[in-house]
Amino acid sequence: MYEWMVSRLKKKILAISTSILILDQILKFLVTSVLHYKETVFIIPNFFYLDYIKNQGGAFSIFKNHPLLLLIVGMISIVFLGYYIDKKKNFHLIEIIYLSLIMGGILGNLIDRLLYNGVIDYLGFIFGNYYFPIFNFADISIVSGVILLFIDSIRRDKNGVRSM
Amino acid sequence: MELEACEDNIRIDQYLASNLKISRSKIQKLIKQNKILVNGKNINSSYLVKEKDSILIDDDLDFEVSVDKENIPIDVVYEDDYLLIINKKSGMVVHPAPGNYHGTLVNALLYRFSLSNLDTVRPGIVHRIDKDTSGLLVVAKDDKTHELLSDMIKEKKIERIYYALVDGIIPHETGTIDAPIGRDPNNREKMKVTDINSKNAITHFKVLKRFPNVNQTLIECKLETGRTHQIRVHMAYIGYPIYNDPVYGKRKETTEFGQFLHSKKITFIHPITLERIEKEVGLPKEFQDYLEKINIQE
Repeated sequence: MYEWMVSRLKKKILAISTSILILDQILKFLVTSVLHYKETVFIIPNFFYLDYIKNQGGAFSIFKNHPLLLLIVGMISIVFLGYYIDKKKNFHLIEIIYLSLIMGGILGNLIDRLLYNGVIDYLGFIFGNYYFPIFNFADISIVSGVILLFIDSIRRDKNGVRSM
Repeated sequence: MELEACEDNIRIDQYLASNLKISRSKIQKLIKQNKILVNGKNINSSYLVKEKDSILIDDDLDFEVSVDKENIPIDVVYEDDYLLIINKKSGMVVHPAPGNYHGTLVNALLYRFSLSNLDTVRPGIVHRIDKDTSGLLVVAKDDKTHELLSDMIKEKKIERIYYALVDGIIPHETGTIDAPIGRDPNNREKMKVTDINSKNAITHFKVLKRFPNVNQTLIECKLETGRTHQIRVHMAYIGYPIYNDPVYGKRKETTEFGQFLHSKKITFIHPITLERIEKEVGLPKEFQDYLEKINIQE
């Protein structure tokens, strides 16, 4: 593929990730300005609520007592992803989407860790009497990205084509 | 272990020593080692505990209090996934405390339900009623509900109506008692209206029926604050103590039933389902029987 086309696709990834990052930070700003810390507001009774908390751990609060570790892991992921995208010569549409989703999401949470020493979470769901751990928009972005990545790699394996 | 303070203005070493049945010197040692945190901060032994302080004890203490599950009958008025409303009998202590680790409402609840666990010794308990007070009490089944209910209590969003029989004939139809309550410096077990180390307390009452033959009045009380022994202290303060109250009453002799005070009605918006919950229970048998007796005499 032509050099200029590849660089245009890379710019696209950068643009989408940045949009996700901005949207994530806007949502966090709204939550922190409308709610008090630890305030809970039910949107759908018995099912969905907003709850402004700061999570020092990773997903499901793992490594809760090692905020620095999580910060470093986040940074390494970004560097790795950046390097991967930079070296890559060709992009499918689905790759552009999942790479952007993952990048944008990681950046969104990484900024929180740098600024507030923890991630701002606010989306809460209850299923019966099970409380799903509170998460945020950046988490949704990362998880959807990873799911797409899996789907894509399974599809490629079936077609006998290896990625990259 | 973690616990939530439910008293005010007591030195932390004293408070923990009496609540956990361990020596004060051991507590002071733990405080020096920074193993006791209040609201996440280091404190010293002279720190005065405030209600709702969260106390964290970071030590594999040999005194870890385990609360036994006991099959004691209780009257469950309402239950869903998140909370319970119990109609407590007079005479039953709400939660375990020094010298009383068995037969409490918490022991009975643990036998049947899983409860919130923000506090190891008082699982599920978001507010209390006295041992000899009967009636409605809300209990949290999980930590989230516990937090939400505690906030609602602080913000006065849970309305409770009590019935009380007091000694003396109250001439007014309604009244409001606005007098701060604190610990009685002469008797640690007692509360009193005082300006020293006290917190504001407001009680509204309405006369339901007067019984001139026995010189008693049946009233309905609504609390704006929830201090320890509030209704009992306030009614005694204005000269109409609750009938048969062993601590604040007029008479020297009281029966085992204790004060004629009953938490009759509770109304609130469910913090999770957002439904309006309104529950009302009848008076306990002893209370009802006594009222009928003085009614007939009239």
